[in-house]
Amino acid sequence: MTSDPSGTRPRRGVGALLTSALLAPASFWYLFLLIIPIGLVVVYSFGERGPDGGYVPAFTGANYQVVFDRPAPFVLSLGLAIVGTILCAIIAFPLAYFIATRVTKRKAILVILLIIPFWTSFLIRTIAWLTILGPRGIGGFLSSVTGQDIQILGTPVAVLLGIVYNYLPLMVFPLFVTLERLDRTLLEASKDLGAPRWATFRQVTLPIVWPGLITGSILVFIPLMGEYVIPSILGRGKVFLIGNVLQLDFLSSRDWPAGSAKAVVLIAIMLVSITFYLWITNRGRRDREVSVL
Amino acid sequence: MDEAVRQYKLDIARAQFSRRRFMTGAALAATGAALAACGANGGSAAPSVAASVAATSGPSTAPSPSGAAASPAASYALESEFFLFNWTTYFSPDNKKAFTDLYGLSNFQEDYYPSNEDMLAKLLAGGKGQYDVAVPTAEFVPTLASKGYLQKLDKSRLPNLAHVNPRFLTMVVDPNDDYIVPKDWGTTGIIYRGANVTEPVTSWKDFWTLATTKYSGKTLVVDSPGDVFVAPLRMLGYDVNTNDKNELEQARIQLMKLRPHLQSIDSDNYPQTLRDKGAVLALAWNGTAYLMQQEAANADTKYVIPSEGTIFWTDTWALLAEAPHPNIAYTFLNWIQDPNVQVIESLYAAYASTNDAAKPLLPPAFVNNPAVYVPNDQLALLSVATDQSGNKQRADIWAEFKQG
Repeated sequence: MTSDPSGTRPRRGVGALLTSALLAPASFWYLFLLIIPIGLVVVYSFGERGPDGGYVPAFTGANYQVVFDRPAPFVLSLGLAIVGTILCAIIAFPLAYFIATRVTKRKAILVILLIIPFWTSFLIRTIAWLTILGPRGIGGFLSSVTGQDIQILGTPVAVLLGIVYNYLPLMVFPLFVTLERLDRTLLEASKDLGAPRWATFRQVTLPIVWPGLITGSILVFIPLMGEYVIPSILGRGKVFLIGNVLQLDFLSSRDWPAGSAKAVVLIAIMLVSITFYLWITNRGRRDREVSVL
Repeated sequence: MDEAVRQYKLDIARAQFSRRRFMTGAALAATGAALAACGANGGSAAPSVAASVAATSGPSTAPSPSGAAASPAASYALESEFFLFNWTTYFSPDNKKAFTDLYGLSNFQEDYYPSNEDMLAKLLAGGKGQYDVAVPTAEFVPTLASKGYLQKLDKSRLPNLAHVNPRFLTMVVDPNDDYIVPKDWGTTGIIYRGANVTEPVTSWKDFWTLATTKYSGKTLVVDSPGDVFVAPLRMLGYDVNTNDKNELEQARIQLMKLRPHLQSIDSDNYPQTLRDKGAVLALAWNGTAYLMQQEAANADTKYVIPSEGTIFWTDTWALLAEAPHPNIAYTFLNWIQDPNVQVIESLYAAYASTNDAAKPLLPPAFVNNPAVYVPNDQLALLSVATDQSGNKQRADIWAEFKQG
């Protein structure tokens, strides 16, 4: 891609050296903090628990068998992550659209308002929902209105609320950034050419926002799959996701191989689902581009 | 409310949560528990605590009846530094000051950990010579000892061990007491709100019956397999440390019977749940019941040692293998078992002391409360839990129980 080959060629050795020097920290980072640990996790996943916990070398598939014998936490995690991501997108889109296109004067204030919740600890924000949903909050209110004992806490619904609340900004910001670059004249052109609102949205707005939507979805989906704190607090220990399974294996049972096997399965699920998602969305995008043309 | 009393109660709350946090392994969520506890403690009056503080503000300066505290020092050169590795707010600042002054220490360093696992990890990572004394829970002592992290105790340097109840010196985890200087102890039992639960609750069987019928959805258990397994096993008449497949399978059936009726499986926020009456019946730890009893709004809280029996835990002062200051460490381990020192410790931590000689010196309301001290006629119901975390069947059952 070099546009100036004659200028760079004599200095190529220095350039290569500089390139490696600049990439060295990142390379070490990924090698020692990503590739080697993942390799260790894979190796551990075939081992056995030592008498005092931890790992002793062995070669067994038993740790993987457990995952297939009891897939419920994986199914529930995947389900909550997908529903949570979709809900975040549905709620975030109009908000981002509004701030990016309709607000002119006080845009900065609205953006700051979106950031302010991050000034409070994630833990405290989640614990606050205990009060909101608990017997002195919505749960108690619904119980007194209906005359039945309605418990929201300790159900997947409570976890879903906590998830959407906490992860919403991660969806809003990528959408906001792409929507801000939306050229209003394109929308007007579409309207002038007789396209109804829905067609304009589908054929003009959505293709432009698409990259933001994909970024936001991945930002929300990946941490959701490993979410541990929200189900522990709002699930009252009864909503059992992959993160909780891993905590139990590594800290409570001190069974590193069992936990490692589940971690490997989680990584595999993420790889497959994100690849599938990107494939689907890219295909859809190509179709639309064709239809726009 | 009096500032001293408020601070005292906050300290109790912190000791409670920092002490019990290890059971969950959920250190992340524990901050929330402390927060909830602080919030709930803020507004209620507690005359009995005020009284006990007043009653015990003196003994630190009172002459020691044993007189043994300083004697071992005669033949050993005492170091001027002492490094303690402890749970947070689990050693009285008054005692810390008293010890520092008494032996002219230049540096009493106390570092903290949130769980036994954490302590183990930090000791493994940092080498053996980092600290003089650590505070593991008794079931962790064999692990520490087998890894070579503990020193065998020279009992001739610890004459004050004579004050300690022999029950804590002969536990299965250390039958000859090679390593343990016992600290505080407590039990796993049944907490209920007397204002709501009017039926008699005396046994695990009662707990199961009430939880699955009238108090369905109003019952919780702590998120700790080591404690929850005790209930069905004792109810069925089995040993709490059993490995028998059939016995564990029967326990599993009972646990799964209970599971749909539970309001929560939670160790961190459960005191708040009981305060809010989100749940009124609980399989939980005695310290919570004691704390709640001190709050006017929650004074109806009751604590029961189930008649089928249960487990008790003991925290211990342990001398680390390559303690950099062994002589002052021995002096500390002996001094800490001075009954007057123990009175302050016990009230500070709000747990029962293992030191029998301290018992008569403590306020009667504290000693006679089953949420602190197990009544003498129920002592036979208690057994020691050994570390069962390596049992795959238990781990599987627990995962199934959590999943519901």
